Amino acid sequence: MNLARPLRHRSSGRPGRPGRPGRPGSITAAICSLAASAGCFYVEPINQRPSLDIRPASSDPVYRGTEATLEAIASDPEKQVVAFQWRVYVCTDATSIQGCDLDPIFTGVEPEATFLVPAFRADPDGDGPEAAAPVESLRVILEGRDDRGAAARPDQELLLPVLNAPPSVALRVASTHGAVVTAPIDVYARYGDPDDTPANVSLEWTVFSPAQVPDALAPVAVPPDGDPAHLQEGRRFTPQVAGNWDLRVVATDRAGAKTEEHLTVTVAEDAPPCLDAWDPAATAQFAPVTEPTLFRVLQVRDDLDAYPRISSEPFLGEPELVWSIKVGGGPRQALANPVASLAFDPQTYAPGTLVELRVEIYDRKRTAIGCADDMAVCSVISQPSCIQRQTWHVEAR
Amino acid sequence: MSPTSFMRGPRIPTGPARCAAALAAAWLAACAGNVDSGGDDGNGNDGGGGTSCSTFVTFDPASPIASPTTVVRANAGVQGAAGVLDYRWSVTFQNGPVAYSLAQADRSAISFPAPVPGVYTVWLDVGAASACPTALAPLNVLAPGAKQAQLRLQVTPPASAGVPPFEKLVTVLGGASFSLGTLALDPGLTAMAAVQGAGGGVASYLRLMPVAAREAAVETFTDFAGAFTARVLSQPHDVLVIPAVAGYAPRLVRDWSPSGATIAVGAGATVTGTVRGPGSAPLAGARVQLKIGQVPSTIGVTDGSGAFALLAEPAPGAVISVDVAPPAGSGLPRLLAQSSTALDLAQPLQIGYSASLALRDLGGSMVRRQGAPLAGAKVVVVGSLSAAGTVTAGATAVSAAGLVQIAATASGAGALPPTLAPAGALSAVIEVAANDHAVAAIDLTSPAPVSIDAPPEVAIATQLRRPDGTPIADAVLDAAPTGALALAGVTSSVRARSGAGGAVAARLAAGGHYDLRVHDPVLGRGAPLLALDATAQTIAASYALRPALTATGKLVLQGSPAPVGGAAVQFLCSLCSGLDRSRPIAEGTSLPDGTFTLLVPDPGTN
Repeated sequence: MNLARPLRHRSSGRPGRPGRPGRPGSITAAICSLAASAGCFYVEPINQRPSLDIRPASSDPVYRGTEATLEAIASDPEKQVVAFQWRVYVCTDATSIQGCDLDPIFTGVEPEATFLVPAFRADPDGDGPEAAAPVESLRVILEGRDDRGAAARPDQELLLPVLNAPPSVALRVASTHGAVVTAPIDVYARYGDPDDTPANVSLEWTVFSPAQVPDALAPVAVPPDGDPAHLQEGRRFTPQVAGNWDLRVVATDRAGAKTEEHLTVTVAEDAPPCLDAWDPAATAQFAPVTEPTLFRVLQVRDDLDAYPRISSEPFLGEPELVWSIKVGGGPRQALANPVASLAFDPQTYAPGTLVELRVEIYDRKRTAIGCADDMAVCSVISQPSCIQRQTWHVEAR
Repeated sequence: MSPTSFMRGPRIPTGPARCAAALAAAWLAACAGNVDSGGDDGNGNDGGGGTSCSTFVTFDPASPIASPTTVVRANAGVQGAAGVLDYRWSVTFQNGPVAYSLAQADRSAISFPAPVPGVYTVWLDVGAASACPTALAPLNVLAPGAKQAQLRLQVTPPASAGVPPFEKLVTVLGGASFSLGTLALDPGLTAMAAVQGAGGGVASYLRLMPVAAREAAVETFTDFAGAFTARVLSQPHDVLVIPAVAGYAPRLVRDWSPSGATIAVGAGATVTGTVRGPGSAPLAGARVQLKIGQVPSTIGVTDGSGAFALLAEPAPGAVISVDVAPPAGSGLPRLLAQSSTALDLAQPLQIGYSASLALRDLGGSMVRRQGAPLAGAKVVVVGSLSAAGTVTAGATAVSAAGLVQIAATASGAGALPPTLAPAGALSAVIEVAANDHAVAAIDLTSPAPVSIDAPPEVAIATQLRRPDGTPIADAVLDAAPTGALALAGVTSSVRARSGAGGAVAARLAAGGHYDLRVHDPVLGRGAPLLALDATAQTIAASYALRPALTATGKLVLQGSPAPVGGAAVQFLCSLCSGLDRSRPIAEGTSLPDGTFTLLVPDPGTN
């Protein structure tokens, strides 16, 4: 123990012969005779070598272009701390020195070594990189010394095979509208290859209808995202039936490694549009209106017809708002053009005139609003939270 | 200290010093237990303290004007943070980074240039022993010589939020987009009160108008017992009460507190009077209503002797409007009188049509278009007549204008049935088909004309352009009827969408007048006014929209960081009246995170 030496020197009253810390196998003994007067006597134990082992952090194979993690396992008989030294070389054939690069791709002193496995050797022939050779294996060397310098023997050496990394592919639905029958759905695949350029990856697309029948896919342009490690490809399908549509993409790299990804898109029927918010509040009783007032639909909810229309989504349409007016006991008169709001000036009517202002909404399916005329509110799907008709009852004052 | 660290070399120097003082017989044991002197990691971490931290940024100057030499200082403000503070800043403008320099050695202040007007966003992260939230502070850097415009910002939260409408005045400064920051919506309170009359609860209609923002009104009805519940802002309200029960006069209750005070109604004052026709004969079946200020009276209907009675709430000094609607088929105009001088309502009102007012019969007049009879065409004769009658109360007499709105439908042969209309220079609005109108002058100063000609619609073509001259595709042009068309009850706008080159084609009623508005797909649902009172002949070859500014903001609930999404956010005119006051200039919806972005017209710069 290092701690013992100074004490020994002090208690003996003269410099003792220092031990040889760090010399493997050395036996340092010090005897300090404890005479009748004073002093001590003790023996320094023999420092033994630590033992080492390398363990991969995962049982998964090591792929080119991916990270690998190795762990150093040390055991010291004296329970001393062991300092590590890692060196990792990339090789085409790790069993020979010539089969590896001269310079390590990784060095480290931590118990855990995490490094990126390159796709190619930097210097396959030791005389400059004439032709990049794919990395086929790794030569990992681990050295360890305990606190007193005793080195583990032999150094641990691990030869790891390195495999071709399969390509990566991720799918996402790119359309901003909902997945609705008859509405085209765009799916983007973002793909790459950890040990090759993405241009060498090919994609095979298939989409299956809910009846598991392959359906048509059309290419769609995908804006580049500026990531040189990945490319994107897009396909469009137009579901004609509701249900779960299964999109499958198989990515294949130059070496034939494949990655398959699935995306399930649940397609629904085009639901009727809903009037979500309006102004002013609509009441069943006739509300006096004393000033010119704009009756407006503020918010609409629909699968495919947005209000207001979204120009950047050409497929999205705009729902039709149909207004009608009924003065006193007269007939209901539909207004000619669909507009977002209806101006009502009470001065246009004799004081006390009762007027019904009504708005009804239709999307592209134009589902008939079959409620009786005297129903102020109507939901064709019998859901109070989704109405297609609203009626204001007003009294001109 | 752990056993492992006990063994490490660097700690050794501490051991001998201690051990030197140990007695020889006892030293081993003593040393073994005391080699590590530290025991303390020395970082001074006292574990925080649990105080909640708040972070904010102040600017100097608070409202900088952009120029090549403008420099803004941002100062960090931190409350409730423990330990040594570390400040990390970021400044962005138009999504790009802005270089800044430290203005304080401890990094608690920075300076950055602001050469271009617009919204600069400063992010401040404070590293402290306890977690501090990131401060995000937008700074509006103004354009030099900015003109001002005042708009009303109105927010209508979704019904599910249970929050009353919100309105505030916003001053828009020209030449620079701006941020409204975070707008905290008053969650309001649930007012539970009742309308009470002498005999108990009175069923009524209520319009509750916050005193500070009358347009952010809430409407409701009481139940039959007069009780009502409404979610309103936590502030005094002016309440318009219109009882649905006979015997009570409508009234305006000022400064009503929503904390639950009862709203009292009564009979008000009984106003009586008589309505007589042009020959001084009593006019039965006429409907008479007063408005005192903005408060309507009950409606009185004349009996066979022309007499009526109504209830009104007197308001000294208020303008009194008198509205008399003649019985259908009488051919008489509606009388509208307004008195800025006080009419003595204690005196019976004597309302008479002018003796000179003559009636014409349109019966037999043919409705035609280009010579061909228009079967079933609807004709509304409209116009206004000055001095069509008089309203007298005691010694005070007020002249009443006549508003003509006489409707008739042509027969299958195109002939109008017997229909009386007042004599005068008027207009005929002819509805030829559902979406086909015409406006024709009709001179009834002499006997009714033999025919009323409905000229064909007029095709118009124009182009919509942005301020930079580029055409606006997919924009919607709305031509809202005004004048005779509006008076005849034509409420449908003519609507057309622009093509790729911004070209718009539509057909307008010949002789019709319209207000033109454009819904720019970029502006969203905002409808900037293009032209007032335009006709087919005055439509310009092209219209350029005014430049727009981006207004951003975030809605949260007052007293809570919860965002308010799905709210309708509108900018409205602050100086308009009538319908224009409720027509949005810009309109949008807040996103789930409470943020909104609208484009508003740019007031410009000098």
